[in-house]
Amino acid sequence: MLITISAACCTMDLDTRAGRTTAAHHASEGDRRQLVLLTTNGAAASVAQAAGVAWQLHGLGLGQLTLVLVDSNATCMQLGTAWRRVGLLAGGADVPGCGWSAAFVGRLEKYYGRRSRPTRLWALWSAKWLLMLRLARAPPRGCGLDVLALDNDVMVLADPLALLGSPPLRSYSLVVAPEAARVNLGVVFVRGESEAQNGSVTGGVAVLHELVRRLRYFLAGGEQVLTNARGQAALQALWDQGLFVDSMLSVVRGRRVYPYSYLQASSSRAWRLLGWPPSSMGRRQIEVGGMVRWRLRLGCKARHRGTSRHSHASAASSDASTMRAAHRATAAQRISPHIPHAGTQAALPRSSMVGQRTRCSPGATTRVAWCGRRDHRTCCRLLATLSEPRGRSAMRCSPIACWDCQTLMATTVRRNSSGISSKARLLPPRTR
Amino acid sequence: MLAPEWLVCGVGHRTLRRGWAALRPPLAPCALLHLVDLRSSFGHFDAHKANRRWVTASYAASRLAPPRRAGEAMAVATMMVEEEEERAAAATAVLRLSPALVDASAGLESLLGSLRTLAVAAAVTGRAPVVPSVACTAAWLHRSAATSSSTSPTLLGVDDERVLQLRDSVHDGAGVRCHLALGGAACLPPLVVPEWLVPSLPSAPSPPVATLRVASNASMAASQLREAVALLGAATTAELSLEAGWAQHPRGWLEAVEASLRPGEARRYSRLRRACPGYFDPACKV
Repeated sequence: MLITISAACCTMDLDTRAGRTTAAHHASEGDRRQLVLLTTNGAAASVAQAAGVAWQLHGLGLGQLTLVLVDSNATCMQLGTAWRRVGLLAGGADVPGCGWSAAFVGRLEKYYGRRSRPTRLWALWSAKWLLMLRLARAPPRGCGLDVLALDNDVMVLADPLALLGSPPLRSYSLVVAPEAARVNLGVVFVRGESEAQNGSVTGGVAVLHELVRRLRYFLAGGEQVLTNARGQAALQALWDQGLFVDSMLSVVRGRRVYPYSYLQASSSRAWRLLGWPPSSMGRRQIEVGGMVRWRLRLGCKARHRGTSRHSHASAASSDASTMRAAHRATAAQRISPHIPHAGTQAALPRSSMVGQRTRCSPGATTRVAWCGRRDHRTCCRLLATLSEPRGRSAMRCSPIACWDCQTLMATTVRRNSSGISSKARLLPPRTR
Repeated sequence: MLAPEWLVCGVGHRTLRRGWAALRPPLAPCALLHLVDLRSSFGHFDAHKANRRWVTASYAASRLAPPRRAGEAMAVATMMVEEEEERAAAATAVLRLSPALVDASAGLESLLGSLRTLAVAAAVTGRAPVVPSVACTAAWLHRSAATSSSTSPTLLGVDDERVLQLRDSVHDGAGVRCHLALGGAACLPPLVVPEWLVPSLPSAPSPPVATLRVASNASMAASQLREAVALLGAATTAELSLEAGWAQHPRGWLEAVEASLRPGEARRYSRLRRACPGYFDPACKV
């Protein structure tokens, strides 16, 4: 029986450089410098689900690139049992592709009891962001890894790494899934640095860097602990999804903002130390400022004409000036056509092949793009009306068809773009 | 950037209603289907996060459905079950409804009646009931105007959160079967065994080796089931059928059978009802 999951030869202590080097070494075999990161604690159900996702990745030929982050070596052993059960691991073989981190163990106790489940779980989540940052940062004379972090309730239907490495996604250094005015961290992709940045951080790595910086700051203890109105530690203020949004907005705007954490623990003394929010900023402004406004821009005309006159991208920010900067940056850079890489075509519906099926006419653009924010059914009906005789297109309709007529959107952090990345550089790397 | 929907789609309930889980590339709607807001469950009872395990395992079983990999499908699907002994128990003795009791032309009320009868029989015989699959043409399933098309054989127009549409390569190699969604947060193996798992059970014969018949006479039904236990012996799968259709059963028949359960049987039955409230909800509306 073959060992088919092996980001590394054996279990690794990912808090050590040697452990991370081992993981990176195996992930960088061949041309790929990519890694899929799963995370699980020792709960049997979670381990089983992580093993299931790993099994799905294996089915797509990504088993070699899979690394599972766990809370202890014992959990790696549990994972090995699950892998043996599904035939991914030989009976007596070492458990591959599994590593543990205790980087934040003990640090969240300031917010919760030592033995509480949230403390242990949140410590593991925090460790995930630290590990992602460390893997994505370029070592001296080397390159960082592209890291795709997945939740265990994700079903892997097609090779995501191939899509992320192909136009148009390959231009982006950070890809996250939206959830209303926030993000959902069930799927996060960060592109590794291509070379050491001499202390500065840019792109998606900057967001992770800022997230980890916040974690370390608020976990330092003393007056830096976030507290609620009753003076109790407010663990919710450290929810990684909230911290991530705050970090992302900070990188996009080029100045640190803390709307999520502040709204969860506004009476904490930590804010006085940080000097945030400014006295001129009211609560309502903070609430609005903490929302990610995903902006859609139409792309049909530009795509069909093959020009860059019509911008395909828009910024995810409530800051108007940043938005304008993002537009300038993206307008100056030709957007790749919405064509999946040849190697990935089999994994996508036919309807995704650049408007071949949707045929966005100039007059239809507005309506089709608008339907993308509506439900899928509305979209299908509109497409049926607009592009093909009713029935045929409805049968083939998928969300991809809707998105064909839209642009890819919301560049929060765009690699190598002068406007946004230069602002990201303004954030000093204090925590390294 | 924000992930485009062809990379990540997160509308779980819609995904299931479209039968996306039944589809494989090149028809997959996106590369990463995130079940974060999955709402698929039978009835209005909150299945919490357990439905994610149910769905992912069903999908795994479906993808691996070709018989040559049945063992692997079994292994993946049974990852839902955490204890070795329980898994072994679930794999060795199950009781399922005869096809006649999952009549596509009958209403939801009839299906719920069949499920209750199955639960009673399972409690008496000490077997795990099989959560059935139903024909996607069942009269009580919602249809969607957007997908109701004679030219769309894979989706069959079904637009109903109470079923998962899974490829059925075990039975006919190409079609789609509708499997009941999770009946409650704890309605999981080994307490119940989903139909999509049964064909891959080790040495599971088809058709089943034994059949239990339940009389229309309520006073006889429970004792009849008890007598049949010995006849079932070590048979892996057994089928439950009724002597007559639901229409011929007197009103209150099922309640009378339930009332005649012995304490141990009643405890097992009660446990099933608590774990799978969706399958027992009399107010469940179509």
